[in-house]
Amino acid sequence: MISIDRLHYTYPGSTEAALAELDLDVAAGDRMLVGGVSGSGKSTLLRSVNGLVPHFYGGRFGGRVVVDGLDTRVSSPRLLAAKVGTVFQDSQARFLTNSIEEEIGFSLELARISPAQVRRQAIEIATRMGLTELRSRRLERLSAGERARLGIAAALGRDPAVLVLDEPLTHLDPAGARAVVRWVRELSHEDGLTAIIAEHRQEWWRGQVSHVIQLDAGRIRQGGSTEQPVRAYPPVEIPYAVAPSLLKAEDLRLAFNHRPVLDGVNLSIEPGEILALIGRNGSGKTTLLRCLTGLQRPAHGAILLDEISILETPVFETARKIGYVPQPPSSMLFSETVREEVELTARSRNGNATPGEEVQRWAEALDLVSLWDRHPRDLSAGERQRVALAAVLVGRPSVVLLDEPTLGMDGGRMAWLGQTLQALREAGAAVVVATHDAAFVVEAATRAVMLDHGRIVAEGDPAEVLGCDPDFTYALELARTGTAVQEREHAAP
Amino acid sequence: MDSSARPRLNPSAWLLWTACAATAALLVRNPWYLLGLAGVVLLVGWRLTGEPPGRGTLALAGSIILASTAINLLFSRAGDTVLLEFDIPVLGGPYTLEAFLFGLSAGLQVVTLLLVMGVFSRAVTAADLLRRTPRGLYPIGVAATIGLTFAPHARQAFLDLREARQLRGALRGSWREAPRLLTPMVFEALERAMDQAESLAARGWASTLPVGNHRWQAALAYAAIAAAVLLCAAQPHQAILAGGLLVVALIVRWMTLREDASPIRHQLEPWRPIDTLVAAFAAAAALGLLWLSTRVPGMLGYYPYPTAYIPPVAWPPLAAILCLAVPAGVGRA
Repeated sequence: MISIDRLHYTYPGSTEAALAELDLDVAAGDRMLVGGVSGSGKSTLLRSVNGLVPHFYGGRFGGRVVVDGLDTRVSSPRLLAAKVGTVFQDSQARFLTNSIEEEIGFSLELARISPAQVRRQAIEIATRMGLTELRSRRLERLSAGERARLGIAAALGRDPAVLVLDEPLTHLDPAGARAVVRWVRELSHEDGLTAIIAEHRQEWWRGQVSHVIQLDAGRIRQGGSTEQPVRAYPPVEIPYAVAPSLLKAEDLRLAFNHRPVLDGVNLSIEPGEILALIGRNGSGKTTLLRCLTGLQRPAHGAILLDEISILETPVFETARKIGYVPQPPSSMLFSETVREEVELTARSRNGNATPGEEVQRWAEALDLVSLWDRHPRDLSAGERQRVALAAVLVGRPSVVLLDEPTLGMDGGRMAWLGQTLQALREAGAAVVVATHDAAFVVEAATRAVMLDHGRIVAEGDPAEVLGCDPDFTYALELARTGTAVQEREHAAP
Repeated sequence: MDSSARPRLNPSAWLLWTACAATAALLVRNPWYLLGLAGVVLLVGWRLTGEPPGRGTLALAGSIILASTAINLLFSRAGDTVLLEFDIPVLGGPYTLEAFLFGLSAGLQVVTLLLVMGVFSRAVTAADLLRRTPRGLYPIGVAATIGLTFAPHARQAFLDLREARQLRGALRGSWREAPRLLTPMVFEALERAMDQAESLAARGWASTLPVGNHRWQAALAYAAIAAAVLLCAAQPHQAILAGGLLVVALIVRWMTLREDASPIRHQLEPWRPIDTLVAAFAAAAALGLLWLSTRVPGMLGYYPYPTAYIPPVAWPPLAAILCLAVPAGVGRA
């Protein structure tokens, strides 16, 4: 179905090849998982299959990619779109219409089939992907899981022979991730669809794909196992002592469009603890973090930092004690270089005085020295996350709030992040992490809180709290035991 | 204001309304008429979305008017009515009332035009535009998509970056932060717009090179266009011949483009009487203002130099502007 012969590709303006001498064959109906650390060429490989490389990006392209008989170098993306459906990482940013049926139908319209057939197929796909009940809802009101489902449905519009999925599970909670894995498996079994999946969260796909390749600097890693390599990073030393602070939220209530987002949340975050906020997409985790920074005012309730209300304090003042890394971290980054980015916070904290050695110590502590003079927007997702973390920590906050900090991080970096949070805790900081990553919660957190529809439904030991939700339990078991749990599920009637 | 109960307007009606409202905003310079037009556009936007104009929109409008007024006041030295004058070289003035009024009306005009485009971007989706663009005009379709989505992306990027600066300890609302936000905001908005363009290409909205006879027809058409331009430049008195050549070239090119037709529409977009009503009133407004601008010079404009005066108000331009308020009464996007 897909034949790649000595593929070599370099992006315009780059001197390093994104893909180098790649040879690959994928048979019809195969499901192939592509692993590798950030920047290893996973997304570029997918783009070379759907023709966006080189037709959309330009650059230097060598070798040959043939998809279902079409040579991508001489076939335009328009022809290839009939053969290859693409699911992007952040599908919300790529929707072109306002409604589910229109979004699915638009791909079909491009194929110029009859309106009646478009309608029939759009309804059929919406039904198959369980989107029928959501048909009247505006796209911006869909949850992350629903958006992912729509992204796949839109890609399936033209009945492609190949589906390429770029990090489809990144923003999904365990229930959403589980559903996506199931849909891809069903599509492959029932329709003979060939799927190529680029993914960091590989545990979800183990046992669900026919083969796995690992990319390393644009090449397929030869001779080793198909497991994603886990790099070890040096332990982190926090170069400052923290002035401990107690953060309390009392009876927080907030609603958007008459839908409660926070519903009577009471929380106390003490120095020296790592609190994990867990819950499904749309359960209120990000809103709670934004309230705790003062960016979002609750309709009711109080937020006290050392018994002083932060609702009466300007955000830039609160930010001296509460550091927040939002999702996506790129929205935090606006300087020309990583150095300037980190220095900016240090200047704000020190009254515009020239940053001293402390900034350099942070660069070393967070392994940023090699990135020091690069533009933050040229970095991978995981690297941006580290820069954003450094830009916040250099302000010496007593409370650190992190929204989905493991996104875009490979296994080694995730372990490194866990160590960093431990070091912060030992230095006396209070850390709050909103995450879907069950394994990370168990490894890094000292306490967990589960939110559901804006309410705290469980609180306590991380493993016990995760146990309250079957999908989180499944995710944890999956991370611990690999394929066993999926095979068991598969065998079940 | 609940917008859900009213019937949906056809996107083509919104396109026509936007073209007419933008024409009005470009023709009018009298501050009273501009205020009226801005009010009408805000009302249409309110009825369209069901939400009143936000503080951010009003603050942005105020900032643009303030900046335009301040720049003209500082750099224009013309006008009889001197408000301030200092015995300082370069910066001493004179600062005149005329410069102030001219800057104010210029700012108001820019804001009105932006408000019109704001309503347009809420009423019409990228898909609506693409459905009306022949695929042979692929670059125009992509540019239109990026143009349509850039403003909302830029607004979101601006809000995100402003929050991020506060989180890093920077003062909110500091004037000094604006230039620092500008470049990353444009980058962020462009990145998001390019994501959409990439998604379009992946879904099959992409250019194709003409093949077979079409390739020769396209080459012939481009050669004829080039010849027409050269002829017009070298022999201006042969403009009619050049024009004829251009028309033939465009017809030939259009015939090849038709093969690359725009996507078909799977959902019926019926043209209802209310669409006719909106289109007719919008066209009447634009044509009326065009007629006034040629037949009664000065009625729509405002030029306060050399001596400031209060701009007069007449009913015909107000009536024309009021015609643009029809969508507020009858339809939603």
